[in-house]
Amino acid sequence: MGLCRRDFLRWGLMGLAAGGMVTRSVYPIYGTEEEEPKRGLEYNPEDHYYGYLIDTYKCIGCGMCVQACKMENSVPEKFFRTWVERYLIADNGEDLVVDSPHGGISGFQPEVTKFNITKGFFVPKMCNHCQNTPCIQVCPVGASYMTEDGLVLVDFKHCIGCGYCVQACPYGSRFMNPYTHTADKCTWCYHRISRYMLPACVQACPVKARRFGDLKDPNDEVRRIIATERVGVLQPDLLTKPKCFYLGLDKEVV
Amino acid sequence: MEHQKHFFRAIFLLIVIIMVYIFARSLIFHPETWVPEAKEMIRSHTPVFGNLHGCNGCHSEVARTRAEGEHKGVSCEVCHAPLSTHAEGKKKIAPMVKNRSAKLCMRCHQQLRARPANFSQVVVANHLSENGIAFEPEVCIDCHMPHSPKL
Amino acid sequence: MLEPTYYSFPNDLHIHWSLMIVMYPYITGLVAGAFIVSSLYHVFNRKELFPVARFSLGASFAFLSVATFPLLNHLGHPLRGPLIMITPNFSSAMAGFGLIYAFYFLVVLLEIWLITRADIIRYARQSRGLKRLMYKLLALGVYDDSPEALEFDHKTTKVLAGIGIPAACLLHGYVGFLFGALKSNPWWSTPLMPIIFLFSAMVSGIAMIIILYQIIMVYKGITINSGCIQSMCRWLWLFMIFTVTLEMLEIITLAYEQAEEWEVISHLLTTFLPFSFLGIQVVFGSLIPFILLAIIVLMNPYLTDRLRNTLAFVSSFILLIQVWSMRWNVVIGGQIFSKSFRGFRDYQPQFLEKEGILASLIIFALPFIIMVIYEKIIPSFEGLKGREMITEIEPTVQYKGA
Repeated sequence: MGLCRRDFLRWGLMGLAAGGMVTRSVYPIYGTEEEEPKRGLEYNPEDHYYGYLIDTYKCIGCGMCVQACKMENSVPEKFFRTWVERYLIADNGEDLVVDSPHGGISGFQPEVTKFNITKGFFVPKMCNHCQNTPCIQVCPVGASYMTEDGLVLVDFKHCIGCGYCVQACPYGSRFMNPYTHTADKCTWCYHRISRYMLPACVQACPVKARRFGDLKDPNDEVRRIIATERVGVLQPDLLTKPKCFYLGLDKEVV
Repeated sequence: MEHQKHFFRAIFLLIVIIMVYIFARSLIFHPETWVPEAKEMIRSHTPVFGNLHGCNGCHSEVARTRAEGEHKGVSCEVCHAPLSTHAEGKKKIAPMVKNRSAKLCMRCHQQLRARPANFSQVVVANHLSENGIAFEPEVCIDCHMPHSPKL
Repeated sequence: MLEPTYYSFPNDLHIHWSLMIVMYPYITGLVAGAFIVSSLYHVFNRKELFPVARFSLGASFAFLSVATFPLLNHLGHPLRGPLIMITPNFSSAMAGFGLIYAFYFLVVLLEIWLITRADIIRYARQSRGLKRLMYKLLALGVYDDSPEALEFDHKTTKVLAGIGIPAACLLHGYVGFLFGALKSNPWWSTPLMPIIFLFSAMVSGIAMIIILYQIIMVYKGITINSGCIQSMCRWLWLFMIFTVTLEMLEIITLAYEQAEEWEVISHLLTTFLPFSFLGIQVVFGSLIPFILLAIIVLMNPYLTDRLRNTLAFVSSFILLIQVWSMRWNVVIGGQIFSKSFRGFRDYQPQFLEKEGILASLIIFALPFIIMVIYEKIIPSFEGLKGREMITEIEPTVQYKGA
């Protein structure tokens, strides 16, 4: 169990602490009166700086993450804060199929292609929470902002809905929410991680293809992997410095 | 200067407009509070999904079975439903969804070319005919127990 | 069967910047272009442009008044639109709009006021009642039309027009920058974009003035000044050549470099934009007016006034369409391919939707209504009536003191 128990213990226990503290009346289920908080009561954003690791070798394309994200964040239908892409590639250098039926929310169907597939893999996608982000740069009213813990978020109360950030994001991670008429995007489940819980997609992943970590924590597993292994980011040529790191990216992935 | 009165009057009008703008702006708008408020708004959402510890509180027996089996990495809520639909605090508010459908199993275990080769996956038709079983909507759980699926 | 086709990111299924964002740079371009016409007279002393100098300033004002409307109509929260000016985020190209727009509006207003002040005072003296009050307010209560005051106005106008040119260039260059500075989109991301927008703005502005001038002259029964038309056509030809050259340069460079984006852009041009880009913008919109304007410019002595006016009218009209289709091809074309560079989507504006064709037509009709009202209050062509064969007019006729 190793890693996953460690992850669960750490995040789960922290969840107990903060969850019990913040929303005890509604959600004591995260912690009971007897359990002592393991961490300071307050969540201090300056103590954290998050990173996200996606292992494409492990992803099985079940789409549970997409489904969990939809439920956790009430994402409008037809729009996605996270989605899973399937790449099917032939060795002739030409034939290539990429698909993501409804973002992969119901999983994928067996593939029937006209060509002989020599490699295939899934790539989960989401907001990269870039450090040098084009979307915050272009927001005319400063309604897109970066938090101290490194998240790129939208101020729904002041977003004017011009859609410039949607155009500026090279990853297609932003969309115009048809109900709020503002820009909308992945928050890395800020309401969960600030209670020391894992983002819904990470918790839903059955194979640990998605991992979430604190880059300021010297003992963090994600931080260790990013530091010691060969990780890639999407469209590195744009110099957006994403904080979503990928293991096993293919040249066909954009 | 006596013939430029009109011009200075226009400039004066302009300055008045700018002053009114600056004054009204500082009176009505406090942009420095926007980001903290926005952050608080997002943070105040109540989580829909709980986590493992939420389930263990009442279902320690099943949790142990799960932790010892092949599905140890699979969060309870992935196959069932978000915790908040089932419990509020220690109180059960609705029965937990039990999805027994083979489709749910196939989401992960249907054989796909894009899946990692070492992940356990089957072509359902072949797997059933090898064992001489006819397909039914809930056929998988006849042999495999979801909480510890190894035979 | 999975086709080896086109994959769009799941959030990229719709075009988000619609017809409104096509109208927005188009109207802004007309503002800048019309202002340049008046500046050619006021700053560069192109005296032959005297008949339209004052009117083009009014036209610029009329278009400027509605320049923000398409943008506001497109916003998800139009009521929050003023936040662009109230709490601008200065790293955003769009926020610069607030400042530049306000500054430019101010320059245009001041310049119009200084140029028409003598007339406003005259109307104030001649009229009575509410009308008199209106003119009095417009004159800011100062009835000083002494030669010294008018001389001061004239000098200040020159300075303002001088400031106005860079401001107009900035206003429209910024619109190009808005697109050109997005690294996520290869169809937009080029430093040429602001320059192309600027030159095409001048083309559309001059073309619009040629058309409006002719229509108003015919309506008012005043002879069209052939020297003025001839001069505007010369400028139009020049700017048109610049525009088309730059537009073609951009495509040719992309194609020749065979950069990775060329794959998606060549597909875009041949499959989605063959009609609006190759057909309208390049062949119909550039080639035909180029030839027509060449006839006017090069064969001037052989043309009758009537023929010249007709040629100028037709080529201006085609160029207005060309510039519009260029805006369409940039704004819509840039969104037809998904950010995945693999998928494409199509856009058909609906007639009645919020950002549809009807809304665009209404917004585009507004500046003309404003122009009619403006001309009712401060007529631009009054001085021309009765003096039909004007070949060379001294500006002193109009500006009494200057």
